[in-house]
Amino acid sequence: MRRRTFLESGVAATAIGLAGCSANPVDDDDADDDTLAVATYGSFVDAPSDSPGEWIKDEFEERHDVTLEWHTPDQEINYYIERHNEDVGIEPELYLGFSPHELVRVDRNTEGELFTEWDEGGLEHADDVDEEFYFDPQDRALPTYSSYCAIVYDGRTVAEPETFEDLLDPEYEGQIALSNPQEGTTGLLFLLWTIDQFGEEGYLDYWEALLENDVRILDSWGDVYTQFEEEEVPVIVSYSNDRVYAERDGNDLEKHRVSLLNDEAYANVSGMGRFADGTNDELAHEFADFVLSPEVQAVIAERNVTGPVNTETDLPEVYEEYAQIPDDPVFFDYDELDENLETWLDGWSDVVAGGR
Amino acid sequence: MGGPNAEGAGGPSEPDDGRARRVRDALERRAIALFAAGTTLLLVLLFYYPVATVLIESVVVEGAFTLAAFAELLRDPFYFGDLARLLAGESPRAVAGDVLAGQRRLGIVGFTAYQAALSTLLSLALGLPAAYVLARYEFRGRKTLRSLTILPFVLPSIMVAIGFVATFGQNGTLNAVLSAFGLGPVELLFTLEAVLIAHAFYNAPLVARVTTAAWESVDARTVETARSLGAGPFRAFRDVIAPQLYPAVLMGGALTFVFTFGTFPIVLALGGFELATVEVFVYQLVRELNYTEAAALAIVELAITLGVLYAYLRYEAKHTVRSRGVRPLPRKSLLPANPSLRELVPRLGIGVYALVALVVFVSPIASMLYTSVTGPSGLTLDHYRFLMERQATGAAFQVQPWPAIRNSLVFAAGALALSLPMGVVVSVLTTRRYRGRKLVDAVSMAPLAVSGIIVGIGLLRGPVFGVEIAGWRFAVGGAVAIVAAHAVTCYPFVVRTVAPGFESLDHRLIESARALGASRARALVDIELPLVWPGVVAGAAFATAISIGEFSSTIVLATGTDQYTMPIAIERFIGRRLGPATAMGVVLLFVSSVSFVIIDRLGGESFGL
Repeated sequence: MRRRTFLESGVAATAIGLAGCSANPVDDDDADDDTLAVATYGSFVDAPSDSPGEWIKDEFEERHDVTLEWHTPDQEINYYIERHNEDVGIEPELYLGFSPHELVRVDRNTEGELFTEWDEGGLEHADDVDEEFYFDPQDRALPTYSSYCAIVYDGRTVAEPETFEDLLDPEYEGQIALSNPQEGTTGLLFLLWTIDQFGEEGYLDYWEALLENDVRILDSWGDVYTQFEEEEVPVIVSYSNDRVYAERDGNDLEKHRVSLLNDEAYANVSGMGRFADGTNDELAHEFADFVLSPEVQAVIAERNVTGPVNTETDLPEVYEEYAQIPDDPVFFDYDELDENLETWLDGWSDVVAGGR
Repeated sequence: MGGPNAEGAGGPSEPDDGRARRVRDALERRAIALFAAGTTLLLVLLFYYPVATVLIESVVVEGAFTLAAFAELLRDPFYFGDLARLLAGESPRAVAGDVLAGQRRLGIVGFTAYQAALSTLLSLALGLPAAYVLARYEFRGRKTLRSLTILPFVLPSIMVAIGFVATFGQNGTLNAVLSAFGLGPVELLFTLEAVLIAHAFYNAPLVARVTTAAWESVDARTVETARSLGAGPFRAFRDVIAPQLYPAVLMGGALTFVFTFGTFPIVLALGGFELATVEVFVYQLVRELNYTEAAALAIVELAITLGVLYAYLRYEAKHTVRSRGVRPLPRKSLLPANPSLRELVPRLGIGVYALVALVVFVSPIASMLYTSVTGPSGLTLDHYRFLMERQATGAAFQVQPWPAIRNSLVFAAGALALSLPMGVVVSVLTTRRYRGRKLVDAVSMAPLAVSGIIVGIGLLRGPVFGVEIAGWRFAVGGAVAIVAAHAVTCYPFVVRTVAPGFESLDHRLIESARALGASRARALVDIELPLVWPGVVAGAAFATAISIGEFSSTIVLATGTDQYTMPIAIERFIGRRLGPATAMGVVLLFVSSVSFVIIDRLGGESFGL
């Protein structure tokens, strides 16, 4: 009896093994004009709270009588860099939601073009996009939404840190958490912010002082936020619009307070790019224009908790009231990142993890 | 297929029957060879080839062979500390001087080994008492408890981290209890201690499991003989029982070292970047697409962990005890029959241990359960309501609970069906006598030791992207590929639980069967497998656990939204709120607990891992 199952399971396994393989002609040009595939990161379409993906899909499909397909590979943009480098072909027409440092990574690791230029003449709403949000010198990235890295602190238990030096105060010893700049976006934004503040010569000294004050560097923004929610650390590096989320989710607004150090915040812009492999330029442009329209920008602001880039947008009330936007945002442009990011990060990781 | 009663029946169908039987006999004769070939093919397709495509980047840079990446790595004090200074050509005297003056530097690799060694010691310290209790005492729920010792294996690290924060944090349960006694508070989070305890949470149950099995197969008669010759209980333990436990204890230790050497998320979630391990840097280098350095570092990691496994396998081969317990040691009742000092002292010790176990193993899980039913304003079922709502109204591209549960179970069943035969065949091959077989054994353990991210990238570039042959692209994707990848990850556990059994079998049994005309496969199935059945059941439990908990290859291979599993659902449900993710974590916990208890019960009352 056992022998039978033993042998049969092997035969069955071989059979399904063969069934799982697929073979396709390489020049399989089944481009479908009625389907637009858009790549993005997971939480844009599938977050436990709310995410704009579902609304965008329904609305765009209805307006344009096409099918919108979301693609969310786990490795995000790296997945498409890999595909490009292995010459396997890329199905989606565009990628939505990459930052300047990610574009730097794309350009450093691909030969030829992963993304191609937009034809802005074909975009009705492009004129209303604020110039300051453009980050790609080659015009392949169309600004999509913005956010600002700032300090979020628990106003019930600690005083507001107002400057970078405040964070070194013994009051905050062991009380600050941020994400690893090599892994998490907020951590990287904060690192860049300190470089802007203290210069290439001084930022490592500042980080040494932060470490002296027992700052906690965790893997991701999610880990950091967990510690904040669980009230393990009262001060974290997060986003300046945290109160928008807190208000909507019914959290204590005293617990969710935002500090713009030196009245500044580090700007992060997300862009969308059109894959050079794309076959349906018209639909890609229609989609981009749709995303940039004031109405969709307002929905993204609310559901993604990020700021609009279109100056004509009527912000949702909750955003208007609770998001903090610095008068004078800090940021490094593409060229500066391209030239220095690697060196800056290596220097940082030597100081933080090298002393063992 | 004709059953035995069809044989010899006359009539027109006879030639067909004869042919079918001949085919069957031929298949049976070659079954082991066929399975070995199938196993090798699967491993090459879904493990060795993909991993090699990544690792090769460490030695081939821009088309030319070079060992520069390794040379650079070995001379970098960042990774190798003082050893790197020696390798870079600094005078040994200067380095020794610095070390003696208290300026020693471990480097990332040295530190990783250091924390892995400490983690192993702590896991042994916490696992061995559990083995003692499970093997030597009888109490209600003992069998269920033993089944559940495998549970930590399926828990995603993010869940464990959440449980640990709630238990050991500044405002955690532990500090609340301590302050009730006027003690504390203790600061455990973000320290090496927190990481070590979390590693023990994962690995002490493994140590307990393998040691319990070994203890239960100690033959009571050997102890009785020693006692009758005048040995005291302690002496009998030291000279008779302990030597039979060492291989299992060392196996638990070796596996713990390997797992904790390759650890990543737990370290960063509970310790922070200052405690980052080699694997953390492999991940980072891969994310930056710096494959040369990432692959070189992963190879260093692989060399160390395979070295440890190889050393253990050499030891195991020499020290396997070649007699199975015909009569296991009788278990004592947990409640002493007559309260004498000698009866009470060990039970007092068990009581103390139970308290420690409660804090380390039970409270993080309890905290997770609690988090799943609390919200900003107290107790709530909102998070479970979220799961129901997601199930009812979620979009097609969003992760829903039920398909995740179903897929996890289907994939686990598939992985089980593949990995059990694979593991058994590899066990047979590596317990035959030939030169270098321990090396083959160690190499077949490689899926345990290769960095997860490297496997992921390899799978992506190999089977997922496919191979282009004559204008056609052959790609493996979807559910079948996930099952196969899980099987590759699972089978080393089957090998490790089955092989020691094969090793200790009396070879004359097989020779007799063969002499009587049984094929090798028939001897295996009819004679050997029933004798090592407990090991097979234990392997099945491990395979199920690994498959249900698997994350990194699943997420790479899942090409559609209908292929995600419970761990992926948990990952997706993590946002600013923990609730939905913990609720899904509780679902995972429940589904896998039931599976393990069922699998273990299939093993019957027999002893086994």
